[in-house]
Amino acid sequence: MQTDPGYLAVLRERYRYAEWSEAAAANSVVQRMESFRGTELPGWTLRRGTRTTPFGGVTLVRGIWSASAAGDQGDDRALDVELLVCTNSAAARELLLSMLGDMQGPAATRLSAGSIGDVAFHLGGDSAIMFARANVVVRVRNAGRLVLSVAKEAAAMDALVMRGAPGK
Amino acid sequence: MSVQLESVSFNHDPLGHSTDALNIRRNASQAVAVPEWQRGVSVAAEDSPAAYSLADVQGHTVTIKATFRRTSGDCKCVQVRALDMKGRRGCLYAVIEALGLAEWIRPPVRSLLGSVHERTVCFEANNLSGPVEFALAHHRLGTAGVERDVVMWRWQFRHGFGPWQDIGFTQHEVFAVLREPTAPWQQQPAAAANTQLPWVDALRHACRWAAGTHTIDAAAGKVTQGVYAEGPGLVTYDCPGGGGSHYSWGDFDLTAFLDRLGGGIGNGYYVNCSDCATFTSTFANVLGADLWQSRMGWSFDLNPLLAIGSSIWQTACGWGGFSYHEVAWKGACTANENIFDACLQVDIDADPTAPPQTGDLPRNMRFGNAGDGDYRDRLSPSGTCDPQPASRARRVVI
Repeated sequence: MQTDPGYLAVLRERYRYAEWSEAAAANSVVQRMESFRGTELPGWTLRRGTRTTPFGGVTLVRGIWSASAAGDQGDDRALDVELLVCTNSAAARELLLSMLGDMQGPAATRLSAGSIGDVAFHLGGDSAIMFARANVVVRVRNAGRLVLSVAKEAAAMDALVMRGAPGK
Repeated sequence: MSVQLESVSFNHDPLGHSTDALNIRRNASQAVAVPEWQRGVSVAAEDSPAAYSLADVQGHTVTIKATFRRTSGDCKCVQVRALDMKGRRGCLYAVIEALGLAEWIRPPVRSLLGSVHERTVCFEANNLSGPVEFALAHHRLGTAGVERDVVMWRWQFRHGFGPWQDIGFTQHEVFAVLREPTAPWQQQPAAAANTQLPWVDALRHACRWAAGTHTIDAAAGKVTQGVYAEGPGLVTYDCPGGGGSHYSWGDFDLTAFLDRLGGGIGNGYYVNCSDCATFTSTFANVLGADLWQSRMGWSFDLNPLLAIGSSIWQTACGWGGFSYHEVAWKGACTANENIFDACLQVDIDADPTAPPQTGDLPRNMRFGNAGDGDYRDRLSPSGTCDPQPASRARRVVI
């Protein structure tokens, strides 16, 4: 689904898009991204991996990961990790804005520069983190009943993107 | 003399569905081969699926095609029929009658497809009959609503006016939908590569949720209820992710949602309004509804509501407002059209802004303008909660 132009205008203002739409981007550009192998997040088990093209030329590599601890039931601890490869960093910023607009709730907060990605946003308690790094957009969210901080896993994905993406 | 059933085709005309079954597939990766039933291949009913559009077969003679092999003897032609094992003349009821229980146990409802009317089948020199068209008799396609049924047939043949002899038994998973499925579902091209043909795996859930309904609005309403009722066991509103979509950002990841419905992890526990609107419209449309996924916005306050998976009346996750909301929507998706919302219950009493609440899941509720007392007023007390019909879509299923 394309983001409605009227809604995009609202999002640009809400997230002060002009301030970061052209901010410096990392040099490394991921050309191609394969599916997750299952080794990318130590301590987590890849339960479901897909590779699709939901937005024209954008490749989405997605993994649903779970971890268990004593006393857990079912998939209490689970993560939804999405990596989207765009044609360039400008397209990645636009897609990040659309991703922020996918949330019905209150605005996410921008993280300080240098913390993760080229530009990043998070929700309270780091229950979800979204960022753009070069031409890649990453979203790490909770997918299980227990709500966890995803900061460590988001950092791991950032490092992965910097190395050149999963499958390598 | 002996005869063997080789195959049964329900969807024998891929260009039409007024006398036969719809073009369907199993899921994103598996097509349904025709003939749907093949000797040595089909065992369980699920191995041989078929779906019928009730509106399209109305008033027509519904037919199947079957192929037979002469395995001994030299009779050129025989009579063939198939009995409905669920009906009064079926095997199951015959056992009840033989046990003297017929006085107390009524015959079960005959199967959706009834029985196969007898006709002459002739064999060629190669002992095969070629596809022979049979009319269905005593079926319920003229009176049924949305339904999934297992049709069990006892195939028989006879030579001349001799006694009927058993050929064998077959069983088939049969779905009745109200009308031809609408987008994203397609009927053409009827090719294995077309992933937008109605999925059997989706029909099972849609027919479970909307079983017994005879109208499009009732079916869509039941689907809405069915989706909402999957919370909190299988899904719940995405408070930790800020109300993001997990199954419908871009295309509809129906494969993941079906996995979730089947007890798998899917794309996880959380859903948002776009997910629910997509679930509702896609499953209702496979039954013949014609609903869009469309939004309202862009930034409005909320009345207390009961989100999917929640037991607490509050503004969603305590946020106070939505930047947008998305529902399954009829027609042009404006204030004048009706909506179905499987994401939340609204308060339908005189004052939706305050307790006590009289909850209702919006099913076929007019969107309305501010002050009309319709869905819009139930959802939002203030802000820009205008229909955004330019956003209307039918997400492709993957």
